[in-house]
Amino acid sequence: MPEPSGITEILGIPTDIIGLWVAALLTLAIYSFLYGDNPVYKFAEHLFVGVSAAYGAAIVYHQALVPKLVQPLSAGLIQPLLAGNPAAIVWSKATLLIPGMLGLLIFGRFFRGYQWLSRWPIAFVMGLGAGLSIPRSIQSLILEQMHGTMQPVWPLTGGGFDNLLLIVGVVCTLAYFYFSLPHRGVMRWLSRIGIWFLMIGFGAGFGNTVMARISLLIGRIEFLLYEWLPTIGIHLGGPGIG
Amino acid sequence: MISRLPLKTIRRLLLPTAALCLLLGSARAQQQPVEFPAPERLAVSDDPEDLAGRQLVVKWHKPAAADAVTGYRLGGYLVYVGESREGAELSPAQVVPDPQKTETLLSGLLPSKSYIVQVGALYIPEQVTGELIDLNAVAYLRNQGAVEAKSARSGPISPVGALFDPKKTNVLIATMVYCAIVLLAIYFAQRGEMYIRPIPGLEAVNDAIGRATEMGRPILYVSGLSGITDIATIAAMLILGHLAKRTAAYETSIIVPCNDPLVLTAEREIVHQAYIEAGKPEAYEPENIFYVTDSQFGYAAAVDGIMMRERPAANFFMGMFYAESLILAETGNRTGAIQIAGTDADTQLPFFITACDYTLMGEELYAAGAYLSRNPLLVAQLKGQDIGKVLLAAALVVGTALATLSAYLGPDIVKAFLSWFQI
Repeated sequence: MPEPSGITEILGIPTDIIGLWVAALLTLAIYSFLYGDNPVYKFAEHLFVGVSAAYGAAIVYHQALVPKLVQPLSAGLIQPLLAGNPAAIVWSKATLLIPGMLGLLIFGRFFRGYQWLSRWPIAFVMGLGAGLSIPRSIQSLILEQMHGTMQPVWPLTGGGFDNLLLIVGVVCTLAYFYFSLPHRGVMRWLSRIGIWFLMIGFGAGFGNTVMARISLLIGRIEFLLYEWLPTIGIHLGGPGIG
Repeated sequence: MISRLPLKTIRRLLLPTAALCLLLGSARAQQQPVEFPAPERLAVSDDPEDLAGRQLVVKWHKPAAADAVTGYRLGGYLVYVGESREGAELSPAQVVPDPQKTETLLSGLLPSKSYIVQVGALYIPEQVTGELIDLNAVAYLRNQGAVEAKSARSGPISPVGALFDPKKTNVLIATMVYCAIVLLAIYFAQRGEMYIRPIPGLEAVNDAIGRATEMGRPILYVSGLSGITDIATIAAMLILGHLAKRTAAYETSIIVPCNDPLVLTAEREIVHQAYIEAGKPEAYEPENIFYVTDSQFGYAAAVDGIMMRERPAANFFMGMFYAESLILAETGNRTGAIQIAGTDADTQLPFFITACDYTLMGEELYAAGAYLSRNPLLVAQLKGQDIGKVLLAAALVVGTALATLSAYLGPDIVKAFLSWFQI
């Protein structure tokens, strides 16, 4: 049987065991924050931040910068240059050169007197984002939602009561978010009903999310108990064993 | 001479000769090449549904005699495409494995180029069991004796894009109506001051700054984990500007850890401008606005550490948040800081409500800029939004009434009204 490629052992210890120990110790280090800020947590925090920042930079370089800018820009660059036709390059690569130049303008931050250059790409990105999100929001968050809300409320059985609750909840919640009128009289009652609807919704959301978080905690505890502890000879049984 | 031969001999000679003729005729018939009919009446047109101008519709007719080819079965079609320029070759772009299907969409094209299209019918020997699944199967089937018959070429043709999608006319009308309302509100706002109802979370901003100033501790401002294009981040940056102007006046330092490089750049500009406007440009400390990491939980871990070490007197969490919201708010709560949060992430609002002193919910976050600055332009926008909400509520009530009365009014009227809200 051929040997699998790559390092499988370091100082005679299998790499998967080393990985398991690193994960377990870092998990404990992060949980030590429950006791208070301490050097072990600080170490884990700085390691986490450093690794994630470096990993993020590597991802951007390998998955965005090189394949989406450098490679397409350099492809077909030599021939027009040799033919003494740089204008052809500019025209054919305009869709890459313009965003590339905008990206470079960000580095204006590093040069005193040219820091204003970095405002251009930021303005471009912000304008683009706002412009794209306005019609998208009107379509998906307003019109489509309204279409789904306008349902028959009679007879009350067979979904009519649910639809009634929905329309009352939406109108009253809209009243709560009405800012340019004092919340007095009818508005006070409408907004009060609206906040009740909001809080009931938040309560349901809170419970739902807490359940998901508890399952994450259980996953970590199971990892420590049933995967890490067996490596030091403590077998507690449970999932993952036998 | 033949007539002299006896009849019996003639019979003996005729029978083998006839058999020989039949045999030769059959062999000759076998040597005749089998004809493989090609797809007919190929037609290529622009896809009217494709607004980006990236697709062409290719239609053809199944070869009339495709089923009559002896020893072969029609395995499917290969669609070839190539640019309409000198020397350009057509290359297989798509496989249509169903022989009964005679239409396909060619995608990934460019509206700036014109294309030539051709369709080939692939005949697979009957004894071969393989199928024309994808382009990789073509070479295998050819090796097994599959034969292709190509249609005449069609083109040149370019996919055509469209700037306007008629299906979204209602979105355009709604956007224009909303813009008109906001512009009118701005026009009328110049005539007098507009009222904004008190928002407790924003009323507490001054208290938070005052507390930080009295305690001599910094203010921590987290503007969410979303990018600069997110409306919540833009709202958070507006609030940061107002907050920084006030902290600059009191010379209270403000710490802004960022998880997006563009947000970092914009926030440095905003805070710097705020310090200049407050008349304290020398108090601006750019190193207090710094990049941490774009990793969600790496960022949360770092901000938690900052809260525990720097002990800010007030924490602001404004913008878009995800699963880290409770981790941040809970740690801040533990340090005893006054906490004001604001987000439009409805899944995270419950956590901020439970762990923070004040929470700006959804649209309150967008209203914060107008509320804090009292800028007539921003306040007028808020008024415009409010009028929009009244119209929406009215439309909802009317729509629900129509839907309820549809049995009496007739379904057509109700459908016509409701379809206006559907894309």
